[in-house]
Amino acid sequence: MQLDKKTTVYDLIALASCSLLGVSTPVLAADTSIDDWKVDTAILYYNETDRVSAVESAVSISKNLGGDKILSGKITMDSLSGSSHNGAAISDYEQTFTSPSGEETYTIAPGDVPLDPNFEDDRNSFSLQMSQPLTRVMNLEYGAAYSSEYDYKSLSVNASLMRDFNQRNTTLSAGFSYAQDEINPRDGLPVLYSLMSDNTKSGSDTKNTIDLLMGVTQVINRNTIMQFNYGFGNSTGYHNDPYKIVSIVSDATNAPLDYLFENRPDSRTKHSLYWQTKHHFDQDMVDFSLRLMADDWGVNSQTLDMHYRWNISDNNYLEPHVRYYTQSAADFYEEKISNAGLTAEQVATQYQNEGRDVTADYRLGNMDATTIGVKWGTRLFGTHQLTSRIELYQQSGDSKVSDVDAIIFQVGYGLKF
Amino acid sequence: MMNKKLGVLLLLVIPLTACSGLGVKPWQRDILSKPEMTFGDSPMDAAFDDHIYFSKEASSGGRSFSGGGCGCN
Repeated sequence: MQLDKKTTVYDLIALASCSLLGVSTPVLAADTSIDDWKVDTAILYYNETDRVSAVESAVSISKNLGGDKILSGKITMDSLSGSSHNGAAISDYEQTFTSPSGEETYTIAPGDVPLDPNFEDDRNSFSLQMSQPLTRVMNLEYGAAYSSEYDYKSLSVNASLMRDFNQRNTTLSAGFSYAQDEINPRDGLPVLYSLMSDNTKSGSDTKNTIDLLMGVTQVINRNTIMQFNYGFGNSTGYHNDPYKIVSIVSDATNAPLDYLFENRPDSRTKHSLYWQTKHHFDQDMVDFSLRLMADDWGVNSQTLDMHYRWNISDNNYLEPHVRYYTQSAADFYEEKISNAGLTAEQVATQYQNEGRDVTADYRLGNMDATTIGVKWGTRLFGTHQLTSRIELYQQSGDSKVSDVDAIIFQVGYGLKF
Repeated sequence: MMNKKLGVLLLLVIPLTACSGLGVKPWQRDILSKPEMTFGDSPMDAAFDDHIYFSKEASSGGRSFSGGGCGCN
């Protein structure tokens, strides 16, 4: 075998100058092999058995403005409809509910999960993000996002600074995000501690969220890279789901007397630790992550996530995925309220006088969730990428209310030019 | 007080010095430079997943900012 010495020398010079200029892979950049333009599109179908289904589509466009300055924009649209748990407990009695607008009623048979069948929403979101090197080893990213749905608007800004150390084997990052949300249902928010039968609604409210994220990315060896993050989040303002109620049941007969609108605390502080490792076996790759989260609502959660990328050929891969999630209930989670001999109005007054928080939203109860799925990716025309994935998502918790089965199907197409 | 400051300094310095023994030389980045070895190599999947799990569970963030920008939870 004869080596092409000329090419080899040129390659070595190119490699050496890249190293000197520091163009070797910065560890935190999203995709360093970016051409001038990069376009990503995807559509996702999400369907829960007997409950909600959603279609979400997104287009993201990035442009390299030169000097590794990258401007990205993204548009996401989703449309959601179906039935959603309204918060009430399953009962041995037939239950009749008033829809959020107060104009219609729906009836739930004994033993069935109380699902509001009129759940419908469309959401559009837009974001702009800029990434620019400040020095050879420092990168700044900043951006803004806006999303709008029927009853909810959110505006956020973010900025992160990354710095490479140790021949780019270590990267430290620090970032913040600030979001301002407005909750504005068509008929107004339920008056605090009011009952469903009161149907008293008025006004809108806001929520402000600050997030801080600090991270270390470390190259371990030629095949392994790790990331550790600490996240802090604090939100203040309106945290209720204005459509969720809590059953007040008679302790004598177990019959529902009325339904109290849920009331969550007006602030929330979260801490999270995140560890992700990617290890390449020269042919295949494994991606493992663990997240621990705790908040001052009493929710503690652990998430394990693993992808195994099986590189079938240079242009094709299959990627099985497993995720396991478990959470403990918030301190103020109650499946239902027992009346203790009082009328529903007296129970509401008692909760109001005590300033007591309560929710029966199963998403704040004890819950386990598993996802299993597989993704297939193929490269077309050298720089195009076609991907599709199918996943099954299952939730379970304290009662049948938490039993949710969903199927997720996604197709994506990306290209660079 | 002095001991406390020294302790904090050690806590900050030890991980960095421990890390200095790890890593590769620039010419050993052939595998690390593969797209799948980059964190955030599937941003579309990640964004969809964040949205789904944010709306169905009580936790969010960790990998990235936890803010949701939707009224789904």
